[in-house]
Amino acid sequence: MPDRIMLKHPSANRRRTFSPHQTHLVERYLAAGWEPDGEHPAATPEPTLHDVPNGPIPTVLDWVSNDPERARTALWVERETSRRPSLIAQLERIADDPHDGEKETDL
Amino acid sequence: MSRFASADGKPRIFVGAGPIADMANPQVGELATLTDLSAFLTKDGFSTGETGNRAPASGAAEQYNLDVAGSVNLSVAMTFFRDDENDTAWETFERGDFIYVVFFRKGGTGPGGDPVEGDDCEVYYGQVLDKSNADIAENTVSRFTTNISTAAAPEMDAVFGGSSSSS
Repeated sequence: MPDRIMLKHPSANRRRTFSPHQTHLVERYLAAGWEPDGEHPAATPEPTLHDVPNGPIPTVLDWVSNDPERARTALWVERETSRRPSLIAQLERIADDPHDGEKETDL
Repeated sequence: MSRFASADGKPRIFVGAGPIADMANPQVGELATLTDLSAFLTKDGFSTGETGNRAPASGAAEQYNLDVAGSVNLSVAMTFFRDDENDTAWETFERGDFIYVVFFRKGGTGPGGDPVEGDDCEVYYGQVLDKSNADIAENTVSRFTTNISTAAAPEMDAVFGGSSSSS
């Protein structure tokens, strides 16, 4: 189930919860001074292994889109599956995590 | 989740010609041009009845009458007390005037229940259709009811203050 977005009133102890499809309302409340609730930040969900596309290198890099969190997820999948050296190198650079405790072997 | 009472002293209502540039984000200065009629609104005095219409979509071969969602009728009605010293509510409405109504259903979060930036509100815009005194009756405080047309789609999830999202 997708994360819900919680915002809190700028001065009063009042909160509202929004569904992910209510971004127009979230923007409206943020413009009026509401803030993401600290306990439930209005963040996008973390990528999971199932989110990583199974395809050619450009497809994977498009999905990563320079996001270190996505790069780390894709890196884990790549090391467990295709092990393409050039993709691993690029993902490591984006993830800023060149070793990650495992030594890679070029095929 | 917290339920809230609908007329426990918190609701606030402001009425006037405005204008309000962005009905989704009425600004502090815009609300200041409206008249605070909260003290005149009766406990059951704010009604925003909506009626959705059906557009029939059945062929003759179908037993059940199917339909799709059609247009929506909105009827905003307000009932206020009359006052023999300061008849502010009565004098605020003139038949034919276009007015904005800003209603804080949950009340304001400022001192004394005053609205502050960030409070939820509803914004309606329409033309005053009528203002009708209630029938006189014993043991009853004098009041009147006014209805407004729907001149713009209402903003039922408006937020007061901040920077307008339309800019």
